[in-house]
Parts: sequence; C-alpha cells; structure tokens
Amino acid sequence: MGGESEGSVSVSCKRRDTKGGFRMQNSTPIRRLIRAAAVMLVVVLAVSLVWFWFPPTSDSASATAVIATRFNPQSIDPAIDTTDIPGVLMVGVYEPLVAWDPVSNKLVPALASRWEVSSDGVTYTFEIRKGVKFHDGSTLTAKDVKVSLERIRRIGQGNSYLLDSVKGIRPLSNFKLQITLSRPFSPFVAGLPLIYIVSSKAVAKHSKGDDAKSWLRANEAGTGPYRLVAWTPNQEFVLEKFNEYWGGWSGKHITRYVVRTVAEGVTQLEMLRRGEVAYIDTVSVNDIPSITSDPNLVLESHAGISAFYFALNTAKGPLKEVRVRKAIRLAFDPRVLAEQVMNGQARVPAGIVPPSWPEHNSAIKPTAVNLAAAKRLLEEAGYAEGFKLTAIYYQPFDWERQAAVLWQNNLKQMGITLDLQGVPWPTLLQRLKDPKLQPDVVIYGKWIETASVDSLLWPMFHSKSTNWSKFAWSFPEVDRLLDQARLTVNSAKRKQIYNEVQAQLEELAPVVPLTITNDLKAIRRNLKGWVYNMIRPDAPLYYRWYIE
Amino acid sequence: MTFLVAHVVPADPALLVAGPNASEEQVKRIRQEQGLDRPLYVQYMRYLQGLFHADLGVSVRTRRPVVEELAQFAPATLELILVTLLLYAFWGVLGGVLTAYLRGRFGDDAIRFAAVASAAVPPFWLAIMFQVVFFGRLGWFPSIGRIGAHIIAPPRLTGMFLLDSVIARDWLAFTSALWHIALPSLTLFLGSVAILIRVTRRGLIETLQQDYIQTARAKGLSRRSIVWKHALPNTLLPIITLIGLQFGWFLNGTVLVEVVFSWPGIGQYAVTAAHFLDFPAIMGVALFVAIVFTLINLFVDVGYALADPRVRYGGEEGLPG
Repeated sequence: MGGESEGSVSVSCKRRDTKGGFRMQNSTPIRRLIRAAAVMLVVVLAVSLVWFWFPPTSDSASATAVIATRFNPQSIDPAIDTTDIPGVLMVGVYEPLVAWDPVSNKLVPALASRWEVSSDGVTYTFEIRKGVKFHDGSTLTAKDVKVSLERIRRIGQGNSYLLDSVKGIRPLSNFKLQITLSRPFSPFVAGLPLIYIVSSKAVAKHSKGDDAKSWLRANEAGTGPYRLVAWTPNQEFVLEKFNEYWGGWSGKHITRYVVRTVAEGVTQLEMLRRGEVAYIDTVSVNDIPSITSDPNLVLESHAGISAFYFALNTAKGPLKEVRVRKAIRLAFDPRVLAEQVMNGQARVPAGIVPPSWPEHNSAIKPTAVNLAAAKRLLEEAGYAEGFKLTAIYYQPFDWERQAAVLWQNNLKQMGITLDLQGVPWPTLLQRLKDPKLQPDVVIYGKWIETASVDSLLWPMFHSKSTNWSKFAWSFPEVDRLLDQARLTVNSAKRKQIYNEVQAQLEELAPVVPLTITNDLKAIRRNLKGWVYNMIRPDAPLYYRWYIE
Repeated sequence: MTFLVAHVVPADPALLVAGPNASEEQVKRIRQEQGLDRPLYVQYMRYLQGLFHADLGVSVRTRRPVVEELAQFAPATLELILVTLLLYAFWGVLGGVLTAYLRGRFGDDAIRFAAVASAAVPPFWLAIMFQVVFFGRLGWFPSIGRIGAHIIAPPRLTGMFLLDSVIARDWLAFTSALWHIALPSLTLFLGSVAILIRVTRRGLIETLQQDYIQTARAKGLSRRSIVWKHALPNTLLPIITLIGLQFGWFLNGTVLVEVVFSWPGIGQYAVTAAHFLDFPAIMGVALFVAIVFTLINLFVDVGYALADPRVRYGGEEGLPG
C-alpha cells in the first residue's frame, strides 16, 4: 500500500494527511514560498497604506501645483494645433507678439514691446522685445517672427486665416519688423494673440523637408514662462519654470505644474474637494451648491462671450421666408432657459453679439415670447397650418436638448412639429456643412475668438466663410458691411458698421439666440492670482497663479 | 467590417483635422494627403497593403504612426487587464469553491447574490461610484492616473509600471502604481467575476458527485483535500476557457473604465479615435483586439494541454479507453 494515491495511505496516514502528511512534506517548500509571498504582500500593502495616508508633499507651498483639465492635447504644433484642446498646454510655453490682458481686457505688448500702424492701415511696424530667450537657448529676433509667420502661412492650417491679408514680412533690423498687408484689415492686431512665435533655429534644425511639423507636433520651441518637461498623451503633462524667462520670477509664482487629463467633471470635483488638484475646468451647474458650501473651494462663474443659438436653414423649406423665421424666434423664451435650465448660470441674449462685448449694438433688446404675434406672422406668410422641422444638437450637451424641448412645446401650439436628434460631433459638423445633409435647424455655439467682433460675425455670416459655424446663409448686404468694417481703420466708424450689421441680422433672423453661458471653473481657496480671461477662459494663467 | 462601418458614418475627418477656420482648399488638401478622397475599395486595398509591412497608417488626428501609438498605450491596458485577471482568477475560483462548499446555506446565497448584483451594475457607474466613495469620501484610493502626480514613473522597459518599478527596485513607484491600479481593476473585476464563480461552482458540484470522489471520501480523505486536490483540477477546463475569454472581454470593458479613471490605455485611445473619426487609429485598435483574441485562444488551447494531460493534439488518442 504505497503512495500511489492518497486513498491507499489514508487509513494509516489519515492524521498525517489532514495535517498535511505525506504530500505536505513534499510540498513544504511550496507552502513556505506561499507564506513568504503573503508576508511580503502584507508588508507592501502596509507600506502603501502609510504612504498613501501620508503622501509626499511638494517641496514648498508654492512650488508645484496639480490641476485637472478635460482637454487632452495630442499634438502641439503652433501652426496647426490652435483649438482649446492643445491650447491648454501651449499657453504655458508659447507667446505671441501681442497678448490679451485679462485684467484690463485690452491688447498689450508681449514679444513685441510696441507697434505702430500706418494711417492707411496697411503697414504695421513692430519693435521686438530685447533679451528674450527661447527654451532652446537662442535669442528672439525679428527673423524668428518672420519665420514663424511665414511657416504658418505656408502650412495654411490652424489660425493661418488671420494672416491672409499679409503681403510682406520684412525685418528692418534685428529687433524691428515690418508687416505689410495687401489691404487694410482692422482686426489684424486683434488676431495676433493667437499667433505664436517659434524659434527659427529649432525649425531649421528639425525640419526634414516638412517645416519641422513632425518635430513640433510633440516638442515645443517657445519663449513662454514654462518649459514642457514631460508629456504622456491621455494622461498628463508637466511644465517647469523657464529660469531665463524675460518676465522674470520675482513675486509669487508656481514653478512646476502637473496638468492631468480628467474627462469626467464628477471626478474633477472630487479631486478638487480632496485637495489633489488646485483647479478644475469642468463644472456643471448641478455641482454649484456643493462647491459654494465647501469653505475650501471657490466657484468662479463669469459672464462669458459664447453665443449659443438655433441656426436656421434659410436655403430650404418654410425657413426661406423671413416672416416664418421671425415667428419661430418669438416662440422661444431665453429667460426660462437662463433661469431654470441653466440655474441662473447664463444670461439672456440680445441679438447674436453678447451684450457685455463693447461692439454690441445696445439698441437690440432681448426677444420676449409672443405666440399671438408669432401666429399672425405665420398666417401672413401662408403657413398657418404649420409644418415640420428637423433639428440636430451635439449629443453630450443635454442643456441644448432641454432648450430645444422648451421651444418644441411652444412651436407645437403654432402647429409646428420639431423633431430633435442628438448626434456625435463629427456628424454634426458634416451635416452643418454638407447641403445634402443639412437639417432645418442646428443648435450651435460660437464665441469671440480674438479681440474683435469680426471673429464672431464674419465666420458666421459672410458668404465666403468656410468656418464650422457658417450655415446655409447668404446675405449680400451683410457681406458688404462686414467687408467694409474690415477695411475701416477708424474704430468709431467701425463700431457704427457693426451696429448696422447687427441690425440687419435682427431683421433677417437667421438665428434664434438661445443664451450666453457663464464660464464655470472651480479652484481651491489657496490658489491665488486668479483672473477671468474672457477671450480664452479655458487657458490656465500659469504664470499669474500662486499657492498660498 | 470595421473599415466599412467606420467609413459609413456621415462625417469628414479631414474637416475635423483641418480645424474650424480651414478653407475648402485646405480641407481638400488634407483629404488628399490622407487618401480620403480615393474610392473606398482603393483605401481598403492601401490599408491591406500596409498591413503586410506592419504599417497601420498614420493617425489623422495626431499625425503619428498608429503602430507607435498602439505600442505606447497598449502596456497600460495590458497591465490593467493582467492585474484584473489575477484578481478574477483567484477570487472567482475561490468564490466558486466556497459556494460549492457552502451549497444550500446562507453563505452560498450571499456570495452568489453579491456577485450577480455587481455584474448587473453598469461598469461606468461603478467606476464613478468608486471614485466618489473610495476617493472622494473615504480618501482610501487615488482617483485617476497610473501613478502619483509627485512620483516619477519608473524607466520604461515594458511600459507596465508595476513590473518596471520592480525591475528598477523603485518601491515608491511600485506602491503608487499598485494603489492607482486598485480601483480600475476592481471595477473590471466586480463586473465579471459572477460568471466565473457560477461556472466553478457548477463544475465543482458536478465533479463532486462523481464516483471517484465517493471513493476518496470512503478512504477518509479530508474535504479540503478532496475539493482542492481531486475535484478542482478536473473542473479546470471550463475555468481556463472562461479566464481566457474574459481577457478579451476585459479588453472591451477597459474602454469606459479607462475614460473614467483617465487611464492612458488602448480604451481611451479608442474613444478619442472614435470621437474624431480617426480611421487609421480605429482600424488599428480593431486589429489589435483581434490579434489579442487570437493569441488568447491559442494560450487557452495550450492551457488545456497543461491542465489535462489527457488532452493531446495531432493524432494521439484523447481519453484513455
């Protein structure tokens, strides 16, 4: 009765077997190994627990800040990647000739220490700031500006449209540059904050016949206060202070940022609450009570300059008729949207230009609901029986759907059926641009991108515009006025022209203005130096902030 | 199929890549550069041609080779899946054994109920709840990412932080990585362990009713010995199959989990690619998943042979007569 099976030795070795007898003796080394592994695991977990509850702190109170953003930069070529997504990284490492000052809400010198415009509005002369270093060690000169601008024009993407009127770029000396336009373009300087200057040395060094596109996609060559020292797409990037920054480091500054990509607003808020991050950029109106009730947090809610609207397809169906468009405009109540759906975190629009913007036409007042007047207009237009409309909106923006439902209910009383469809972003864009796929209504938003209302009105309404926001519109008189505004150097005369544009648009009613949303952010109370940046609300002001 | 589905969606990736202010000429140029202006069958043939050279094309969005991007993001996903698989295999089998052990008693019902309940909950909801509770309220675990913000990642050898930090003997990075992987892997694990518990339980119960088990009992072997040494090994085949298949299911399940936990893996990459209709990246992810599934099936077959010496291929008799 050998050891062929345990059963055969079980009677005589039963006790040994239950205590781990014959087989146990052979497997004792294995058991020791398992025990050792278990002990090591417990030790590791205990250490982790201790470490986690007492995490390593930053080396000083203001040295390192961790912030959370929903933006996930994938490439950072300043000539190509010009949306807010890469912008969250690029604002820390690149600078323009002229910058937007969020405190005074004016254009201020940056890499250009001053500039002059000729009386005919076609010649701009810039004094290039002296003593500015790029992160690669080279010194900024007029040549770098010329190379940067010409590179943007050559590649022809991103914000190159802002340089369409440029005829010539000529360095007059190492620190003086002249830009000549083919015709006056009044928004020219207003667009310069979006044009970043790149080291010409880096472009020359890394260009493999591709204008350094493959290198600049993942590397930076700027003059900004921070250098990009680490970057894991889809996770985080790290900015560290650039010691030779021309603006200097006196006063209080954060010297290192870890910017983490966090897609979910709920997660961002929890991280902020626990002190894991100092700033978040994705705040829902539903989170506001919990933020304002937390003494460690500050809600930053500021009137934005993003205009949301129902874009009406004036090229087909009943919406070709202006009285129909005016009628359905009278069926929407922006007050209910702002006060109830947006919980007061939005303002009632008055026309397409936000009322807070200096170039807004103050004669244009908010529309009030008037279903009786709307029905009269429909009758006059011959649509008393009603009709059907299709509308699409960007699916994740549920508040847009809610706005459309509010409208839908009132339209129903006028005999108009509104079919709503939420679509993904690529589909929405395609349907916006393709005449064969265009619906009757698209819910969309546009904001003022530069320091000029031209960046809102021209892309949206000019018949030559190819901007995403441009729908099936063509208004010759509006075209003429917009072109005239661009050629008008005198700001007072230009304001009058823009007033006329807005008045025309009120009469033509190509859009139903929905709301002007507030920009919502939240910070830890010890994050100081916060200023609301109206033009680029999603771009962190890395250099201004400090931790107290 | 993936190629057709991706291209059937009414959208123009060139428009997205060109940006909001691009002219029609610029959009057209990008379409030409990316080959998107060619007929579908030409695009497909070009894609297949590239496959033979391990060239999955260039991402429309990032302008990087898709192969490079997959190599960058795959280790994070594989690490997450492997850790989850370990949890899954260990607790799934243990849970199955326990419920078979406690069959008919309260413990059996409780474990099975908990497992099924966790499987019924959508994984993205579970992920968010874990963040809110275990990070937000209790502070026991970190919320996102693979490693602490103040920790430097270990030198990249495999791309898996746990392994790389052990190789580099960077125990700070190891503990940080371990703590960061806890919630995402727990989310994936809870959503799937019910099946393994049930399969193990059923297999074990059936095996325990076999004649040779009766013999073992009659010979006085302990219950523990009978279950672990005699019954369980003979239940392994379906368990191995399930674990193997689960690897592939985890690959799908990581999509939502990675987004919620900002885990920089293939799942997040796939979501971003889909959002921007980045065709080469979408195809690259689909191919990656298909290859992984195929390899898993191969490993499962090998696992069969290791688990049960009676299983042989290539001409030998399978079971003894």
